[in-house]
Amino acid sequence: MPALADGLRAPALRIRGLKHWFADPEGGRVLAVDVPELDLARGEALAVTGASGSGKTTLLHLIAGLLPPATGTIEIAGEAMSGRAETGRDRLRARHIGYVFQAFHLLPALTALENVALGMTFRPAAGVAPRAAARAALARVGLGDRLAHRPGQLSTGQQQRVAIARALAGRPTLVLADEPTASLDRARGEACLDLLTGFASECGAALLLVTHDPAALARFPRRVTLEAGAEMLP
Amino acid sequence: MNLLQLAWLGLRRRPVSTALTVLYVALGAALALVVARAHAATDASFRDAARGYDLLLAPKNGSGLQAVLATVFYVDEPAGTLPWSVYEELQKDPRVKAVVPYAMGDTYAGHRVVGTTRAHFEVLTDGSKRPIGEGVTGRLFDEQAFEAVVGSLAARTGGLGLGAEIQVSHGVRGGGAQHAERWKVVGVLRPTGTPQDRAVFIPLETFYKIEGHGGGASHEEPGHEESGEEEPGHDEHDERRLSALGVRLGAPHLRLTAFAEWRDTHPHAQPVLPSDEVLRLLDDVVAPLSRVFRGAVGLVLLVGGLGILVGLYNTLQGRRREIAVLRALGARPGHVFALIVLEAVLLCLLGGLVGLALGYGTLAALSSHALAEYGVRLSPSPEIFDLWLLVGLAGLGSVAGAFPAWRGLKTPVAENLTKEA
Repeated sequence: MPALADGLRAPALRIRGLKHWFADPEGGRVLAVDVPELDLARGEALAVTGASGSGKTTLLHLIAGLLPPATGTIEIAGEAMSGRAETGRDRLRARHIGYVFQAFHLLPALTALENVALGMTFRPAAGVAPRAAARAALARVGLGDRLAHRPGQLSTGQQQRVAIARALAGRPTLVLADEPTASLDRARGEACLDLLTGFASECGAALLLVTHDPAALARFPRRVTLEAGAEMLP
Repeated sequence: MNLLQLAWLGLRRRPVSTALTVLYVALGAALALVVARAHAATDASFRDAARGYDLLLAPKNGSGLQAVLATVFYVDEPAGTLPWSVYEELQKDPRVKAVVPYAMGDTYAGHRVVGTTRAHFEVLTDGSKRPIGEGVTGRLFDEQAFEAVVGSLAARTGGLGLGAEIQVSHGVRGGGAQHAERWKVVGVLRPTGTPQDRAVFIPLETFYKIEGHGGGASHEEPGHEESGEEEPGHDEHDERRLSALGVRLGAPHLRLTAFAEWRDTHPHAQPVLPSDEVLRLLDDVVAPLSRVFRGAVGLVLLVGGLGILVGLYNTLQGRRREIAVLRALGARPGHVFALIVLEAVLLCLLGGLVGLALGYGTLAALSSHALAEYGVRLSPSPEIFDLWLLVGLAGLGSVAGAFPAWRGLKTPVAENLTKEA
């Protein structure tokens, strides 16, 4: 199985010459993201920081295939995300990427268990039973006794833990976390980061975390800073 | 968690809008069910009534439809009279299994009075092929006595029980002078869902004993007499005349040959195929009405579909975040499209199921009244049509959900993930 072996050897994330522009109101365009080169191995963690408007979230959207890049290449586990049609990007995202949002984005009508299982609903041939995996993931984040609770019945910290469980229950190759501690107080933020890095490491997933929280940033040995309209600084 | 569960949860999240939409579709579905059943029951009632005889022999100076309406449904005037000799001829015809004579021209409390023989109650059947004379309360009349058998509806509306005495009035439209003769009610027919429920039956022999009936059965309208056909020199029955004859043949294949022969050669009567006349009546009168009803029902369901379309479209704005999250979790545009269409289909199916339940309830509540008042048997039990109604509603849901679904899959994902709630 050389292809599979190549996929396993390939870095979780590989970016080359990535640029993305947004249109400005005057009809011109503004450079939003400029990442000449970035590799992230499986099991490795990287923090990305930068001022507001520096393109941190846009970078995550590009990596996740939610936006097609203007130029450059993005590979996830050796498979090109850039250059694919929307449906192809959706499939690749479903197969390889777990996403933790700043605002959690849990569906209010679903229970914690259903929210986590939802993360695996669209994974083609995931090879895991979604509800069993969701149950295990919730137990891992300490919410094994909150399976039937809806988001409105959980505290903010618990909601973020459900979001982490949703991102990691399907054992993704890459976890993208967008300001996961921004809605939490310091103690809960610390606990959230412990959980996220620990769980990602156990799953062998690469973690790319966007934050502008210096305390969070300090926990990551490898970090990069995005400058608005400029290249990424190592 | 699959799309169906997600669609169901989506509907549960909007209970008021879901309930109202379901109710609207349900009313449309219930209406469709009741109209369809009423149409089917009316159709069956007409056909059952017309199935009683293979042929009618009617006076030549009326139309076939008039003969059927007068003789089978008791709603029109007989077009004239037939000589008694026709009855005698048919009794001798080897192709004829049964022949029933009818003489009409009087009414009782608005109900047609029919002079006939006991054969009438043995030859005619209801929708379940049971002779109408079976299950009679009391007994059938003695053919020589002034006794009457009344249909169930006539008995109820006329307040006629066993032992009651009736005096009939001249003329089939009522309002004529009352005859002096009296008949004693000896039998009440069970409800049959046929025109027999509305009529009063008296022995043919006593019909001729009514003053003025001796020389002709049809005396209701000037000009209906065919006095020129009466021939001298025959036996005592020759002066008696009949409104029509119902004929049951020995085999089905004789129907067309007998029809053709009598049509071309019979000097006094015209043969009429009741089933053909009823089909023509259904096509010309009932079918257009039915189409109007079905059109109205279709319109109600269409408005229900539009309600679903508008409802789902209006909820889209508040669901863009949810759709974006699903897309971020790997849902493809097709998943989003299918999810929204599934919601519309579920709404329609739920509405359909509630509507069927409402419709069955309505039919059950109306069935005894419809049978008693109109002689129509409404069926409150499930039929294959109901399944097709649900399939149609699912199709309606698919169409109604398609536009909001198409708009939903156009949701910009990145923009809605970052937008403030």
